Amino acid sequence: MASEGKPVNPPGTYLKRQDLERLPGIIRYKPSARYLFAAGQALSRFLKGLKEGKILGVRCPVCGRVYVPPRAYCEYCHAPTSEWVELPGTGVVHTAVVSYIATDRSRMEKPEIVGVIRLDAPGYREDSYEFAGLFHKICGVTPEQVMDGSVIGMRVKPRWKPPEERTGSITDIECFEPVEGGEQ
Amino acid sequence: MSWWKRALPGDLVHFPGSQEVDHYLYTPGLHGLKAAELLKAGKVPGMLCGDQLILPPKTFCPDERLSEGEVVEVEGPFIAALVTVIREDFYGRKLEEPQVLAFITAQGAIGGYIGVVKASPGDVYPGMRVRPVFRPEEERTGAITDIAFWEPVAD
Amino acid sequence: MRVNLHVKDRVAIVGAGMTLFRRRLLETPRELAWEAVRQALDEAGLTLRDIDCIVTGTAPDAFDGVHFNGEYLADGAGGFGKPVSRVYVGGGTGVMVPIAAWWHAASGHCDTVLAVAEEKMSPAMPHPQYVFAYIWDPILERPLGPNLIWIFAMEMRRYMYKCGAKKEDIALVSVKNKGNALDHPAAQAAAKITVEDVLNSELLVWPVNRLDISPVSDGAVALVIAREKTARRITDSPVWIEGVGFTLDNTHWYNRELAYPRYVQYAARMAYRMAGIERPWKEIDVAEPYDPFDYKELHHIEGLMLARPCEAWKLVKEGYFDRDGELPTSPSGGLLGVGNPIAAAGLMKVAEIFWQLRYEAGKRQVRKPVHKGVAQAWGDLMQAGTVIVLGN
Ligand SMILES: [Zn+2]
Repeated sequence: MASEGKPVNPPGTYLKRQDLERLPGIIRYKPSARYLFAAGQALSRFLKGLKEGKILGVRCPVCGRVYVPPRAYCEYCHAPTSEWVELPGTGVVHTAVVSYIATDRSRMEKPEIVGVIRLDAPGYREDSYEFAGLFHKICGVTPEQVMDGSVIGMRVKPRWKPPEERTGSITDIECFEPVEGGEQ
Repeated sequence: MSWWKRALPGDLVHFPGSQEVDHYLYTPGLHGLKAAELLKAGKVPGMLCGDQLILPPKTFCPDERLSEGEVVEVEGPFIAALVTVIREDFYGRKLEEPQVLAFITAQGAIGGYIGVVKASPGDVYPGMRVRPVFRPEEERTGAITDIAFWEPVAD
Repeated sequence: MRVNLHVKDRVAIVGAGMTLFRRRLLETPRELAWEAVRQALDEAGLTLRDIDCIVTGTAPDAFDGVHFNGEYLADGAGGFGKPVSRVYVGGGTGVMVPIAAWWHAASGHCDTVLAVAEEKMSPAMPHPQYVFAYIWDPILERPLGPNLIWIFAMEMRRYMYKCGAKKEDIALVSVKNKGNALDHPAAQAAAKITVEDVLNSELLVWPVNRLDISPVSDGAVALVIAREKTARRITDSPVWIEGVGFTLDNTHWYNRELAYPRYVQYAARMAYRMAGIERPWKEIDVAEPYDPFDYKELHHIEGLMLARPCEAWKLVKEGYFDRDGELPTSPSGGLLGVGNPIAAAGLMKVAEIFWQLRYEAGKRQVRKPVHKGVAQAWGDLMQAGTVIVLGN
């Protein structure tokens, strides 16, 4: 049995942050990569639905699954999805968190609450592993409510932007907010 | 395909985006650091693997032990092994002065550096002797661009 | 060994090497690969002349800031003039690399294979977390301005809700792993800390605090893998690759239950079936579940069927997963303690099981006798599971 553990003397040369800037031969490079992402047929229609204040899903003609957000094909059957379904937009909070940091890890001035919404959609059992759902912001609740657990399972509905401000984007929904008197 | 997947191209949505990183800082590495110090001192770096000179230094030698090479100053003679003349910029606009770009190696070496040769296109040819001209010392950073350009050496 | 799968040859790991894991290393990515490979070859007593094929792995090119990073690394990994391939499944890559190396050898195509994983996260400025922004869906997710940690926080919150675990229960994993790492010579974030330290560290996205997360790291790890005949020539104590499994779910992470990683369970079932393991919670002696976040280790212990769903957090409290416990997990110190150079971190876990099964882990050696171990990694948008079962 070896007394000295492996790995023995792992190599590597640590640098402090300030050493990095002063290092001879350090190369600073700023990439500039711009993209235009195609939404494709299914998502384009979904985004147009958002502009009209509707949450749309699609149904697989073979297995009957309803997909939200919609896909052009069923993941299980690989069949083209065929039928559009308009959802009521209501649902329950699957999970919710309070963010104190922005995308680049800088501190946010005001914390933001985000989560996953399990949408009311035909064909899913109440506690099924898969469900129709969206990732979005949650408003009208406090960080304390997120932390004490009362937000999970809460009934919510989309708060839409005024029609003239909608652009056909996921942000046409400002956030999901509690359904009045609908807390369960 | 089902009936709804017939949207005209104009019906399809495109979202602009970009690569989210502000910038990169690339470290020179173990032997790269030694090479950077040579460049700052106005010297061309190379690596010795046994008797074989390799440009640029790469830390490890292409042998079965991946052994460490030795970073050394290369004194030359330097040869523009391949030359090409650039007449247009990235956007296809004609350059006022054509530029000569060369792959520069040292006698007996494997590998080399890419560099600009200050000479008129009519005077350059593969195999010509060149020598490095460094930027002023205070402008050098340890990057390959410390070599401002290469100039022909009279035979 | 009861292999329920036809392969041409049994395959063993015969050597392992790694660099330090640190926030910022001077070495270039290819130099990190070179250092790890030299260590692994030295340990096996081999040179590159003895190596037939190379498999490499690194996570998104955007961290190193080098496109076609696999090709860039190839010579440092010993790959010049040899068959080289790169595999990629996000964070799951580190365990996918030895899986791919296994099939290179098990097929009989290569006698000896180097499995090399490298990651250099420090070049991306101002912070590598920024680079993670581009793993989000550009149309449905990025417009909401997400930070990478959001998705982990959402999963952790769901696990807490579904399983009744509290933040202080989960923080015990961080305490355990950072403590274990004190005995790891390459460790970056080893520390003797308390649950209070975790709870009082900077709050990033509730329920995630700074010390719930593994650090940003540079580093590389390499394994030497060989077919049976060659392996027995190289060493008296080869560690056999007895089972491999890997699964990918879709990217629609907000369309599934976040409290349980189905994809890890599928990958584990595949690996256990091949290894002839029917009751992993009894037959596995030591485990390295992937722990980029403390709750993730619990999640993965359950996905690996080493504990029942929602039970792992209770067992942590009892010391069940300690180094001298019933089923030690992350005896290396894991990503939380040793560090998290993404692909290299996964391969470090495999190296740890290798050293444990050879009784070479020194002070990290678990107290119980060991015959079988499992290492696992997870990746992408809550969707990739990679599992490898080793035996001595
Ligand atoms: Zn279907």
